[in-house]
Formats: sequence, structure tokens, C-alpha cells
Amino acid sequence: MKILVTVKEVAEAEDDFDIDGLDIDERYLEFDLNEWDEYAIEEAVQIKEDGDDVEVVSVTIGPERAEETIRMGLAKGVDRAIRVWDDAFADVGMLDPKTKADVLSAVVEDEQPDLVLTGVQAGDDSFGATGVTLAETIDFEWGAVVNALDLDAGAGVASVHRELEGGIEELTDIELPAVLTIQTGINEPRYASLRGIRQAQSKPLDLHELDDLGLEESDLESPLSRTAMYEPESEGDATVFEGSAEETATELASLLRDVGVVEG
Amino acid sequence: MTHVETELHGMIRESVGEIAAEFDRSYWREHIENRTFPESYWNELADQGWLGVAIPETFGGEGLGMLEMTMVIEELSRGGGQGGIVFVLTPVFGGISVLRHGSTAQKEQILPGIADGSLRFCMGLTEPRAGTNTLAIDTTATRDGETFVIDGQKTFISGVENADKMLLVARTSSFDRSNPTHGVTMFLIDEPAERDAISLTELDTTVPWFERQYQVDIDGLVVPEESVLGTEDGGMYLLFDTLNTERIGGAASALGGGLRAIDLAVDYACDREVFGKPIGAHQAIQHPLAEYYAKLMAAREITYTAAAKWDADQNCGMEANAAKYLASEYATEAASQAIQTHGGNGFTPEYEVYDIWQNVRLTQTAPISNEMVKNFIAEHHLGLPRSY
Ligand SMILES: Cc1cc2nc3c(=O)[nH]c(=O)nc-3n(C[C@H](O)[C@H](O)[C@H](O)COP(=O)(O)OP(=O)(O)OC[C@H]3O[C@@H](n4cnc5c(N)ncnc54)[C@H](O)[C@@H]3O)c2cc1C
Repeated sequence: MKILVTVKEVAEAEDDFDIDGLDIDERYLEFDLNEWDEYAIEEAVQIKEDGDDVEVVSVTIGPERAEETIRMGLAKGVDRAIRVWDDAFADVGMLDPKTKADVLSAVVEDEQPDLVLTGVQAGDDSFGATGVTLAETIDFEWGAVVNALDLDAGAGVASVHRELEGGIEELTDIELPAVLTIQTGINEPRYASLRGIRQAQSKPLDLHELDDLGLEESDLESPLSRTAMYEPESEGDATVFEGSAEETATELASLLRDVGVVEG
Repeated sequence: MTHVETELHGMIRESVGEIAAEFDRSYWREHIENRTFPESYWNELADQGWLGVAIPETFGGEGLGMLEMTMVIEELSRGGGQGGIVFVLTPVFGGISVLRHGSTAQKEQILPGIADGSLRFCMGLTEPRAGTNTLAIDTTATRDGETFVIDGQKTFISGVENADKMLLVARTSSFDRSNPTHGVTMFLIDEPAERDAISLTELDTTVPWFERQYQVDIDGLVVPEESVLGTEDGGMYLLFDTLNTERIGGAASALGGGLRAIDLAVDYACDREVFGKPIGAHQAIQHPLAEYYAKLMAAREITYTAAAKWDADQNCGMEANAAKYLASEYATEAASQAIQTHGGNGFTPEYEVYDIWQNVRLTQTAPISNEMVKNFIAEHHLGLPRSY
């Protein structure tokens, strides 16, 4: 059995930042693995550890900078990683979910996985659509916002819990091959052990360019583009009190007095 | 020997930092207040392979070197708590001493236990009278057939209550002026807190540690000759040899503490507003933090150089001593400035900086004082006459 996990390195901005053109100035950004993908990787690695003969492959679309983050996935139990990149990506700027799905579907075609795990969304763009779009593109069954997964590899069925609005859960059986978008909290992602980190140094991390995937620059043309980036005016201030209940209550009381909500 | 940070190093830092961050200030305060060993923290370090970082794979470790161990200690310290300090006792003192000088049986018996977290060490060197002058120790071990009988007194010995083994330094032959370093032997003592011939008296020290310090009275302790580490009468050579790793480990621990003090001060200075803007906007607050950060970065380079030289089997005496000296001094300055940045809050237990100051200040004195470190550089590196 083969599991393909799509992963993305995302940027998180510091509390105070400047905007530079259509993006946050890189000086204020810190790059790390998308939080949802941590859970997707852990889920795949747990399936591998519980089953026999399961291979876990991760795929990312991202620049060279992403390699350390990708290698961390290898350290946590992913067997092999694919990084898709080409100068053309740098020129495009923003990739919409459909374009990403097209690129990823070329990888799916090469790899022929039985199961594809993605995060529910990426913390930077927050489209929340790439996984499902990929499933439609490659004609796989799919389940979105999965927060529990029980896989019967022999029967080719994934029994999943899906988190719906209002605390409702849906239980569904999904036939493989399938794409599941994984919700945070489905498991407890592990830390990379030193042994894992050492082994990761010699696991394959292959670069695929557009050519290798049978794609062309024109395949990256996206109907979406970012037109502006700005910080919305804040309409109010939030004050966060820290400390014991006693301390925070005292602070709250004096604030309420200051702003005139209570008198005295 | 310039240090080049590899991807492996980046991953080591990130993973160790994540573990350190999981154990927050309240976890450490609880262990310090109750004086209990941080079991879950230690087990996590063992399970993830960090305690065995420099132990060869054949003995259950990960087979990396002093350089990687340095980074682990630095990141544990920088992540808060006392991980850096305890690391020096077991994987450095215990691990390196046994690895370099143990018999095959000792290595097989001890090293896997260090790597998997089941064995903890304490170090019994300091004595009330001898102090820094190790050659003047009064503790004796007298051979009696295939055993030794040990008598004497040690002081300021940390963590005896948690230790499965004590590295004990004792005299096996009397001092001989013509061969001054001869006659001292290192012993590995099992379960020191449980021996009838060893009595412990707790000492009152002001460091914010979960470990206690003891006066250790040893009265007729009988140990088999297999507990000698290295050779009988050759213990000073062994101490001199492993000393450099203890300097490097101490430097790494101070370094991490100093960097943490700066991290916390920067956060506070960006946050705290008086006179209508963050205090960090004033150069009087910025410049000292920048200065100590720069100094710590320089100390870090020489610490890595020392570690890399150790790993390459080169003499690292100068670098190891310089690293310990500079890191301990700069970290103390940094912590002091972090207290200053915190205003009155710098002196409250909610904020960590005063604890950090106490911990890094100690590294100027223990395990070896900076005077002795400078004595070493002056005499052995600069070729000045021996001063004592
Ligand atoms: C919290 C704590 C934990 C400790 N844990 C341990 C432990 O686990 N195991 C252990 O063995 N020890 C431990 N120690 C002891 C520590 O290593 C010693 O206190 C330290 O090495 C200094 O020795 P001393 O106290 O005897 O000072 P002294 O030797 O009395 O020295 C006093 C001062 O004189 C200076 N001095 C002495 N001789 C010279 C000279 N020739 N030239 C210049 N200056 C000189 C010293 O540098 C120092 O500043 C601990 C100490 C503390 C405070």
C-alpha cells in the first residue's frame, strides 16, 4: 500500500510586520510546516507502523528553502519525499487550488497511491480546497475534514469521522483509492527523534521539474491573482490579562472601573 | 576550524527546542519547589535519543559527537528550565568519562543506561579543605586485596539523591612532589544514597535547582576493584582528559541560558509600554541587549570550535577554557541586563530572568572557577609561569 501526503511549508508572520508590495515583508516571516500537514503526516506514519508493507511518500510544491521542513517529515517516518519546483512557479506568484491540483495530479499519476492525505487547509492561503479539488481531478473518492480514521487496507475501505458544523459528526465509509483531508487533533504528532533525524539525512528527497511531470508553463496559469495586501483597521483593542485568577480579576475590575462600566 | 551549520544541526535544534518548549515554567517551578527530579522531561529526552547523542551506536546511543551534544545542551538551556545543567552531569561527566576510560565491561554496563535514561550520575570531587586544589584531597581509598576501603568527606555534591552512580575521586597513593599528578583514582560507586557507609547532610544553597547539594561523609565504604575507572593512581590524567568536555558542556549550558535571557528581555521590551511607546524603542534598552547578544554569538563560535576539535581528536584546551570563561561571563551580563529590562518584574518569580541569572552566575564558579580557567590559558597556552 502506498500513501501520498501532500505537505506545504507556510509562513507565519510576527505580531508586528510591514507589507512589501503584494506580500508581507520576508523579514517578518517564519517558515514552518503547515499545522494540518503535521497531523496528515502522523496519520500516514501510524498507518505504516500498524500495517505491513506501507510506503509513505510526501509531496510538496515549494522552493529549495522548504527542504529542511520536508526533511523533518522524513525524520518523523515518511519514507521518501518529492519536491516539485521550477523557475516557472516563482514567476507565477499565486497558485489557485485547481492549478495546484493539476500539478499534484501529475504526481499521483506517477506514484499511483492508494490513499492521499492532505491537510484540511494551509495556514497561509486558507483555501481549504486543494484536497477535494485534487480528488475530483484524479477521480478518487474523497472525505473532507476527517478527525478519525480507521483503515481496512485489505477491504480497501477507510471508515472516517468527519467534523461538521455545530459539533455534529458524520461517519462514512470511503472506498479506496481516496483523498482524505485531515483535521488537526486527529492524533498527536510526534517529535522527530534523533535517530529519525539521522536516518532522514539519507532518505530520498527528489526534485521534479515541470518537464519531469509532463507539464508545461502554461499549465500554471491561474485564474486567481492577488491584487492587494493590506492590514485591516482594527476596530477595537483586545486586552489580554495574564496571571492567576486573582490577578486577572483584579486587573479586569480596574479596567471596568477605568472605562466607566462600573463605578467606584 | 570554522563551524558550518548543517541541515542536521538545524533539525537537532528544532526538535530539541520543541521538547524544551513543552515543559514550561510552571513544570520547572513545581519541580524546583518540591525538589523532585523532572522524570517526564528526562524520559522524553531518553526516548527521543537525546541523552545518547554522543554515545556510540554499539552501546545504544546515536554515535554523534561533542559538537551535536553542545547544541543539544544549548537548545535545552535556551528552551528554559534546567535541562542544560542536568545534561552536563550524566551524559557529559558520566558518559564521556566511561566512554573514554571505562573497561569494556563498564561501557557495556553503563553506556546503554545513560542513553535510555535509566542511569543517572553525580560527581563527587569537591572537598571542604582541598577546594579547587584537587591534588590536596583528603579522601582516601586503601587497597585491601581485591577491594578498596574508602574514607573521607565531599561537599557541594549535587543530585546524590537521584543518582544511580557516583563518580568519586579519591587518593590511592600519597602525594609525591616529584610526580604530583600520580596517586589519585576515580571510582564508580553504585547507588551512593543507599550505602550504609555513606551519610548525606543536605546543604543550603540558593540556586533555583530541583537537585539538592550534600555534604557526603564516607566511612569505611568497601568497593570491588572493578569499580576503578581508568587506572589505579592514574585518575588525574583521566580528569584532565575529560575536563575539556565538561568546560564545553558548561559553556553550552551558560550560552543557552544567556540567549534565553535575551529572548525573554526582547519579548518584554517589545511588549511593555511606558511613556507611550515600548521600552524596547529606547537605545538604552536596545544597545546592551545587542551588545550581549553579539558577545554570546562570539562565545558560541569558540564553543563550537572547541567541540569540533574534540571530535577531531585535536587539543582543544585553549578553546574549551575560553568558551567556558566567555560564555559564563557574557551569559551573566546578559541575564543581568534582562533583569534590568524587566524593571520590578525582574525580581518576581513569575518572570524567569532572576532564576536565569542565578544559574548562569553559578557557571562562573562551578564546576570550575573562572580563575582556574584563566590560570590554564595563562600557563598552558601563553606560557606564563605557573602562579600557584
Ligand atoms: C550549586 C553548587 C553545585 C555544586 N555541585 C558540585 C558537584 O556536583 N560535585 C562537585 O564535586 N562539586 C560541586 N560543587 C562545588 C564546586 O565545583 C566548587 O565550589 C568550585 O569548584 C569551587 O571550589 P571551592 O568552593 O572549594 O572554592 P575555593 O577553592 O575555596 O576557591 C575560592 C575562590 O578562590 C579562587 N582561587 C582558588 N585558588 C586559586 C588560584 N590558584 N588562583 C586564582 N584563584 C584561586 C577560586 O577561583 C575561587 O574564586 C558545587 C557547587 C555549587 C555552589
